[in-house]
Amino acid sequence: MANYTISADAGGTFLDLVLVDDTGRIAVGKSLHTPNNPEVGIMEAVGIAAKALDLDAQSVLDNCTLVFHGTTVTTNGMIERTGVRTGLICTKGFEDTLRIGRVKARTEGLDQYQLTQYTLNDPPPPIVSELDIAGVSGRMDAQGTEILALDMDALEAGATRLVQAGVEAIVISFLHSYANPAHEQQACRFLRDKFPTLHIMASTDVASVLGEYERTNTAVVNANLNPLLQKHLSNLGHALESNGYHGPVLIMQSIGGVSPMENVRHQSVTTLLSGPVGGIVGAQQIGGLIGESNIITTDMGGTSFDVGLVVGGQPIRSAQTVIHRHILTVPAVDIETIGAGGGSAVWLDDNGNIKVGPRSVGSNPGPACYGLGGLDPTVTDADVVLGFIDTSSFAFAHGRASRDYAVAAIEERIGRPLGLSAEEAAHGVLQIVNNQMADLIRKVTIEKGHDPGDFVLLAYGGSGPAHCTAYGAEIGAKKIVIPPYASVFSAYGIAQADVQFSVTGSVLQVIAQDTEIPDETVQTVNDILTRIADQAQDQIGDDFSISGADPQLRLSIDIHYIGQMTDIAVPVDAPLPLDRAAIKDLMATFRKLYDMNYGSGASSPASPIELVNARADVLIPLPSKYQPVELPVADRDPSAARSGSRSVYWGGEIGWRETDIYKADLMQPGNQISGPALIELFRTTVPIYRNQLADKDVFGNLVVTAASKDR
Amino acid sequence: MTHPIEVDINPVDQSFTPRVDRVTYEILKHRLWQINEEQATTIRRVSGSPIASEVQDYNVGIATAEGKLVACGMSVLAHVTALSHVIKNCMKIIGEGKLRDGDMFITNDPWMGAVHQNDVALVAPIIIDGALVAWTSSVIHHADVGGPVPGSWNLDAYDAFQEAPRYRFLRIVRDGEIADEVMATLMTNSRTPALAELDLRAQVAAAGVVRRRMTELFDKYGAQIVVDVMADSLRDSEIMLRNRIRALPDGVWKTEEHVDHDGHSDSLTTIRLTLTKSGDTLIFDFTDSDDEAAGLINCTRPTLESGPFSAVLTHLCAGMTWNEGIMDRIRIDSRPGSIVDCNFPAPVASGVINSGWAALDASAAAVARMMLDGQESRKLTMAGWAGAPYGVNIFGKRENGRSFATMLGLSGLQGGGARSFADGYDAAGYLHSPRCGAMNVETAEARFPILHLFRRLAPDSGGAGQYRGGRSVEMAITSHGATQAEVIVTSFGSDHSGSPGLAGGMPGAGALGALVHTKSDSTGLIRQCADRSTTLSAGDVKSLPSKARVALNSGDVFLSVTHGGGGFGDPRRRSVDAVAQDLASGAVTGEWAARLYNVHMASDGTIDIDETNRLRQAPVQADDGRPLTQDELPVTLPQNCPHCEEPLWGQNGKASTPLMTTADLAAAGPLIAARVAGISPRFRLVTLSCAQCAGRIEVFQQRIDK
Repeated sequence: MANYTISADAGGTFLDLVLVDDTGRIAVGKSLHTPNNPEVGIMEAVGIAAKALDLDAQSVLDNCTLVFHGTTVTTNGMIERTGVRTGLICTKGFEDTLRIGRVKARTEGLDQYQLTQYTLNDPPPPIVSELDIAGVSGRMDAQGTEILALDMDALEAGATRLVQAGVEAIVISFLHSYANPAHEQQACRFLRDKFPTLHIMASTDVASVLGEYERTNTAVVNANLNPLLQKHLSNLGHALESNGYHGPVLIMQSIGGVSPMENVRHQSVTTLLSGPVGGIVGAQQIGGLIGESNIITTDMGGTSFDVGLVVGGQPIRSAQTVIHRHILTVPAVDIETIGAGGGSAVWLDDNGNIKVGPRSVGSNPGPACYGLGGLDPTVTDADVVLGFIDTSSFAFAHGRASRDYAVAAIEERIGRPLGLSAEEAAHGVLQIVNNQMADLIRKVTIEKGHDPGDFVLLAYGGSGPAHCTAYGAEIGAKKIVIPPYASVFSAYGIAQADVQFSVTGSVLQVIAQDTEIPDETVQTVNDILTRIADQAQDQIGDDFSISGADPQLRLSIDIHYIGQMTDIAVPVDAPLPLDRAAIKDLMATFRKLYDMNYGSGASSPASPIELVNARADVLIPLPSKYQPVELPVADRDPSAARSGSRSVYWGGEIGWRETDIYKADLMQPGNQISGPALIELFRTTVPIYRNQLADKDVFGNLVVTAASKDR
Repeated sequence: MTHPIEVDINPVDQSFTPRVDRVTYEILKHRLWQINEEQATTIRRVSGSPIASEVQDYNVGIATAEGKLVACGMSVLAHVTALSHVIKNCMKIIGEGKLRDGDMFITNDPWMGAVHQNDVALVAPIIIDGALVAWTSSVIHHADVGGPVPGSWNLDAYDAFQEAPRYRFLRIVRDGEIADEVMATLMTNSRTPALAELDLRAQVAAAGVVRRRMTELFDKYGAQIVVDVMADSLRDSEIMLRNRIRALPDGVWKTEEHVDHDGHSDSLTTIRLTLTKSGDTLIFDFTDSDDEAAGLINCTRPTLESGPFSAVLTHLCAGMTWNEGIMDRIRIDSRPGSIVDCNFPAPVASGVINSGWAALDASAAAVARMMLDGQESRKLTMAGWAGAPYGVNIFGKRENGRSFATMLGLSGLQGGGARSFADGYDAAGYLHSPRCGAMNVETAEARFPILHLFRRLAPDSGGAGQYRGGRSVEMAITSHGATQAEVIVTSFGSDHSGSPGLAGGMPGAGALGALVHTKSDSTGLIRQCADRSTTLSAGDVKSLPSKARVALNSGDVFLSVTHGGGGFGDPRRRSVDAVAQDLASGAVTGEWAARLYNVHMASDGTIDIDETNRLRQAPVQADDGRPLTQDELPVTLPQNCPHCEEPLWGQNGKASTPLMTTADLAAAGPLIAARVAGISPRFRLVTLSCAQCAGRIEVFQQRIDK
């Protein structure tokens, strides 16, 4: 009997599940997500996937070694504000830190046009009510020196008031706790003792970094969502156990690694990108299979377009992210988003300019072509009008779907006012949205010093395959890859992750570039690196039962010129303790990376450098990576995969043309398809443009390249 | 100086059709915006100054060959019109023929377009095949650009020669290489040379990015198409605004704003504006404004232009592409030698945050009153935002002997104006900066030897109204780890509020600055001072005028309160629930809930609704029965009462002029003219109520010292 691993990605509506065994077999299951009763959805999906491998759910679970899980429980909790009532205890005199939000919190995450709507830009609803905040006197300064002892009476009185008001979680966040957490720890101990059932967290337990607004906000979001995550995980654990699975459950974290569910219970804020990050980890793994280490990942769904980057085999991360208009200072894989998806509304402004999004029509009534009464044309309607997407692919959910509705909507709202036919208008809409997506990819690559020509572009998500051959060509990616499990790609990717534990600590050491580095600085840097390395390794507790390769420790230091707000993460490769020369090397690497980011000559040889934060990542590589069976290579003739033809509007000099349709699952590696052509995947279509060639590689990926390139 | 524009440039062209197809147009417009955003990102990342990266006092723009900004950044809007002047003046001074590809120029000269000497502008021509096709530009507020005083605001200056040195288009980059001698000159003339270097390098890097991207764009699409899209993009915005202006009623609206203290004496200077809307043009006439002042509060014409520009963008251009095209629908009249169009070499170091800011306040108030007269536009109006900047430069010596200097950037910590349907935003930022920011307390304390005693929303700071103005911030600092420290304050609105109410709403908090001398150490101060009132009773209080330079010695506390937002609508119409909520959150104190909102508190601390309703329906007692005329008022009232819709000035002989009552400013809240306990010798509060329904129509602060 084979060993199995299961990966379940619970989205808003569906639960995507991928089942693999150690012989290279893989199967997919999709079910309705049942967050309150996860057993139902998961067991159904396991059953579907097991059946595809001629197995039953019970035997799969009995022989399952690992369960991976990506969750939207925390993200949904944040959007719908279903977290628990959370109170805040902070330094007296600074009770309004969240409300003031460095002024910028009100407009963070708004796009160019939203920013211009002065009367409509209310801040996101606060997570902590103004009435649930208690200031307590006590003060550290920026060096971590205590100026005033913590007022324990005020702490007790404040916390008691909050508890009596009904808060279920309390965050303790004091000024300069990153420099000296003593007051926060003192308050935590006292309150945990006094209110043993209350959920209590210190800001430095979540994000030990300078910047009270971001740190407090991060801790508040975390405490607010922790109980939701705990409840979900315990439901899930019971569901699996009662069906015979007793192994570890690994939760996907925003940082790009998984962690046993016991370790993330109190770190819900690290799971906010749990699903989307799965795609990037999957891209990393596919890159490894096909020998590509630079990958642009693009995920186009119904409402948004997400772009991530893998460089040199590693996902690009950032120390701060904006999630649902909240600035959070937890390290995460960097994902840039714009509101452009299949369901994005297409409209004309007062001057007749064609606009796409950011408003989305949602799933009901959805795009006009669904036939549910939607009158607003969408990007998907444009795809349908042109013949790229056949409405029969929606028939599983929308029986009345028809191209006629799409044509009517595009004609009415866009074509007629501009004097264009429906297909001309739809063609224009696609060019505009594809170029906006290309602009976002440029932002993620070119703006950070990367040439898209050195990258493979990977496309997934419901609408990604239908658009990637356009935006991928626009940015000049060296090839475009559509993986075989594009519609459940996050679930696929989550199972490719390794265990990762991360710890961050403030360094805050300023170094003059032209003078000798003082002994104290060398000492401090080494003390902090050693401490966080130990803390990260300590997370591998005695009860840690996952068998993987030996843990690897990775250290890095975020460096900037003094005063800058953006840091560059410089890897620490030398063994600890670092000597002066090793620190000088770090500075040289910093200048090199700086010039790469901002252009040659941007770095200053004289300005003082500051070592800001240090990070320790412990990685435990897992043996569970999916190793597909390589398919045999056939000849170039794709005709066996041809399933028919339909009329497609390609624009320009081609116009309408009866276009061959191929089925991706019938294609053999080596088959070559020249555009114009359509390749149908599970519920979507990839248009191959005139100057493009498509083939399938031995791992089942669809690969599209520019025809002019030497192959 | 006036800039006459053809009122009917092209009267038939009210619809917009780009010269290229709409798809290419939209693609390129988005791309230009993205390139400019990349420029902004580069500046935020590379600049080492919290002024750019945290407070976001900078901006960027891409302009046509003629210097009109097609893509403007969403930071400080005052820089947009300024950059346009900088580019045009660069062509004049350098000579268009002498511009070479790969050159970049800097200026900080207010007579060349910079809004004050701290704002160093960098402009770079983009030349393709020998032809000038576009410009890129940026400006950052540099912490110190030299001159007699750290931070470069010399309160004692009588002319620009006593201020920081001005540069006219030094070629900081020549053939793509940084000119080290120019960099060295700028650095040696700054007290913060390391910050100056990173700021300049940020600007050079940002302009380099735009040059590369624009060159690629020109290569891919061809110069003509890109140039056409840039020109059409200006016309696009202009036509959209033109149609919005047409939908507004024609008319004339008067407003005014005042700047107290010119650096030398506690003078009072008034900026007077008459806005005329006729057809599809807005004329902002400032010619009646006072003469230029003896000190640093004057502004040059480019700074003045940013006032109407920012007011029109923020009030009338929601959802549009913001660029300089809208200036074609705006005419600005001013008088050379006046406070808002000063002659050379009047002192101007703080002009953009004094007369320039006041011109914006007056412009926003006039546009809001115009909108109030339109059936549709009145639904989305706003009272006065963020009435005055709160510029604080702090400098001195650290315990290790090194000097320090920075601007604290508190101007964003002000209240937003109440909206015609909802309260104003708390700590909203200022009107002319969509992406305003403020420093974390921890960042300020980690970088500079200061300690904050508190930083919190100020109770009673939001202007009273049916919808309340947003709250501002009160904060206090003391020096910590410095052997010597001084503070220079530049604000206005210490004797009145620069955030007027609208439609019967009251003004928001004005500015308050005070120095409190105590004998306490840091521990004692932290223990004693947790808010405004405990601080004001912690020692000897010295109230500060709007401009002040004071030593911050050991035991001294510098206390400041910034402007709140103005209120909208008659406060007696604010729902009792909303007032109860304000009381619970501390936004309004019990005393002022009773005085401003006419609520009656029962003995159990709740609001007595019956008694409140009785109080709220009390008839207006007018000061005298003398009929008013619009001409004697400094502010234009609406045609009709906003509450009962009756005509205000009588029609067909039916006289129903508004009823006038006057009071000290103290009647509008505890934070207006707070340094004189609300009894301002130079202003009084005038309330005009409808004779028909007794609803309040307008509450304004009238200058009475002349």
